[in-house]
Amino acid sequence: MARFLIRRLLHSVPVVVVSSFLVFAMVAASGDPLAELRGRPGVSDATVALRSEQLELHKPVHERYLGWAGSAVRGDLGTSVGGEPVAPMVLRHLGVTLRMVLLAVVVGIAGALVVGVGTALRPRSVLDRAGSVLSMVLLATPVFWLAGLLKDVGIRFNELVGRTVVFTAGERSPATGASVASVVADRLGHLVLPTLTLALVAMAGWSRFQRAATIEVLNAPYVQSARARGLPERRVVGVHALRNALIPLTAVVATDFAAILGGAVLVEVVFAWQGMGRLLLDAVARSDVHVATGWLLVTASVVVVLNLLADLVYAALDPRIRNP
Amino acid sequence: MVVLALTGACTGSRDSPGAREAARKSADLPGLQAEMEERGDRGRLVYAAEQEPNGFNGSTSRNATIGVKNVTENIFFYAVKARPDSGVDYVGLEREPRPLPDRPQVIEWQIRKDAKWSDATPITVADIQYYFEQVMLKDPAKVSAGNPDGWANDVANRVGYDQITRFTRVDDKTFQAEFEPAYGDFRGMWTDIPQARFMQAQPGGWDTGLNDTPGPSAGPYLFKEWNKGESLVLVRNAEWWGSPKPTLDSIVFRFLPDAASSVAALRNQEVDMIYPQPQVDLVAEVRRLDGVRHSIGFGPTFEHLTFNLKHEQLGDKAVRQAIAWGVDRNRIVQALLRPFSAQAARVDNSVVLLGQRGYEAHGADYHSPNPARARAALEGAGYARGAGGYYEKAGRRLSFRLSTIGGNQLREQQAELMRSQLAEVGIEIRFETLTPRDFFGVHLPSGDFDIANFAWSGGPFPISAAKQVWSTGSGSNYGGYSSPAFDRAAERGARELDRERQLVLANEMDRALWDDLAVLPLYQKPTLLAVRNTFVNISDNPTNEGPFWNAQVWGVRKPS
Repeated sequence: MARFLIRRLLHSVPVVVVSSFLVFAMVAASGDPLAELRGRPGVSDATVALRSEQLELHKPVHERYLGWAGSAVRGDLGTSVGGEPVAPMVLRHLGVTLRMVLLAVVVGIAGALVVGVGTALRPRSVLDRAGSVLSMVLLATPVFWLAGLLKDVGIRFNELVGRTVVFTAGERSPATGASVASVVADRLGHLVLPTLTLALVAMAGWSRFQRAATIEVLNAPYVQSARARGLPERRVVGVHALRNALIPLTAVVATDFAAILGGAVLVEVVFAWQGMGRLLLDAVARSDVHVATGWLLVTASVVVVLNLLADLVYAALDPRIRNP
Repeated sequence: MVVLALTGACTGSRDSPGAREAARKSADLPGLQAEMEERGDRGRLVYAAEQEPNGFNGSTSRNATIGVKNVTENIFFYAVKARPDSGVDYVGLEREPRPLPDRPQVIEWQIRKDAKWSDATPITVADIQYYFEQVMLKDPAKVSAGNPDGWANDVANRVGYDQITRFTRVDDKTFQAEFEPAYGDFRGMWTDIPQARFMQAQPGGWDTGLNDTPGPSAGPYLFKEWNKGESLVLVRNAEWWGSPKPTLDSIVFRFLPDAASSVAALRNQEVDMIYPQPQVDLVAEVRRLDGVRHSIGFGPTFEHLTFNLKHEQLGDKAVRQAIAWGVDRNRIVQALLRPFSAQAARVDNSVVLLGQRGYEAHGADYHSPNPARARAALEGAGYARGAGGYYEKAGRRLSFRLSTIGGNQLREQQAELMRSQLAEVGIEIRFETLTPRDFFGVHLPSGDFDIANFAWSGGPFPISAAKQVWSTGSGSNYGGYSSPAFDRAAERGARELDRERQLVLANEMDRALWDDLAVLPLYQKPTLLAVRNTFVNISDNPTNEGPFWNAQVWGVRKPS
């Protein structure tokens, strides 16, 4: 197992190196980070030249990349066009995004299990048909539209109750009260809408996988045998069927993780979260190569680590993986 | 002298009769609040800030943004601030800076005697001198082809400071600067100045020393904390020497980069004040909000068409005249700006703007569209109708790219209007949208455009700005304009020390622009300020100052 994980890690290294160079080169070629400065009246050529030198814009792209990569392996991702060190900046934004995404994944998995298993146990029932329709509608709904809709619903809810319970902007309120309860309530109030948006979209697809896997497992000979032995249905489903039915979902969640991060970009914009999505958009808009490449490096690392974690969970669920 | 009255001339306790009297002098100001209302004690205002600072030294090119200025405007030392009517108030000075009677190129400034930093140290000439030295610091090691003078520090704009040949400390509070040549806009100097002692102690010095904290305050508010990506908090500066004293406990800058999010946050009681770039649907949404008042102003940024005078056809004045007679500026204002405000108007001066003292409407010939005259001008210049009804000469059709930055609803609508208006005259317009990087970084500097639609920013000191934009050979003179009449007036205006004579010369500069039709001004861009009704005395200052110009008088509405 350890050898398998190390092999997976080593395979990801060239992918990260090549993709980081491509992102670096593409963002560098996409424009001039000092373009707006050049357009300001009163800004002298000397000022532009000084900034250009600080950003090493006079050097060829490959030379700039090698310099950046040399620092990156030592943990220094350079500085942004605005002069802020990139590593803490990216980690700060990553923390914001992960808070939203991880909770959305947990909520999405929980929802998918409830809906998927529930509809699988009663195929072609009203509940099953309603679940199918809802899943299809959510799958067809653009994330940004759903986010906007939930935002409006949240505001109307607040107006109805006469106080701000759910928030529409940012991940926390500035200078919240000192009590733990108020801090927790504030954080949860900010998490509700963006998390629900991502979770609903993820749940829509995952619940269909879970339904199909559960139906397949429920018809498997070992489950029929368990039933024939007279085991209670709750034990048959909860212990014998569910464990195997979770294996496909684990794989799907792992593969979908990068897509959820992509969806988070839009959700962050709608709910004004300063996460990885906003960071990438700003970096590209400013032609900020260090931030864009730092973003890629950290995001790719997160996806690799989470895929490895998924492998571990997969192995825990399926003994054939850990003892091939 | 409203700000001077508000910040300097009054003494006494919070909202004393003296303070209220001073505030009443603001009754003729445009904006939200005609009179200063009585304020309750304490309170917190949350402002939806679209831009987050990178750092606090707003004199560096990296931080010379409105997002930084909004924060530092009430923290750093300002000798002078612009009033909403573009007059100025010497908020940090004992009196207006003045030329020495016997040596008019030497100007003397006197810092207010009671001016001090929040750490109780006095604001002195040492602070000013350190700032000046950093702005003008040179380092032989930094000499390069792009930086032949070897400027050592990142400074956004040295205009005026680079004409000081001698800086003299008279005493702790008084200093003189000798200019060569004389610098007419000296009254606008010495703003946004941090404490020298604090900056000297920072390892990053000028360039990065203030990246995390601005240091002690010279203004009504004090920096408290900055949670990057989230918010920045200013608190009341109890040591502030001006009056009326601020009553708000704190001003919170909540970083919400998207205007739509700001409006939703205002509706959801998450922020109290927004100042987004207005769009029609955004203004309509704000109008529907309960408990929120809003105002539309017209700021110092004006939309215009810059003609590329090196273009073979646009170099012909008759063609530019045809365009000026073909474009119905009144219709553009009517269609695009009147939905915002009934006060929206065409601007007929590219140097001194509407609402500024000294504004004169020039270019009377072009105030109304005149397609017949446009066609006659073209025919007089040898153009004849060709295929599609468009004019052409020597087989070349009058077909121009109208280049601008993409993603701006207002610009796209006005381009469409101009395209159809000029088609009637017989001139084809091809709309070209570019990214800001390509527009400002590539197309404008290299002259790769025919007609460019963008905005320039004016201000209370219009001559310096206009001189940088339209003087022969100036870096920002993208259209390649060159006029002895303009250059002469600009040169004289830049050296003129008398404000009134400066305005006369500013108008002379604009007349030259109209005579040559180097630029066609359209309108001043609207601003939108929306504030929760529970706050009082907040109004926009449509100069470069923005709404934070009078933050010391903001407060929560006093319960009746």
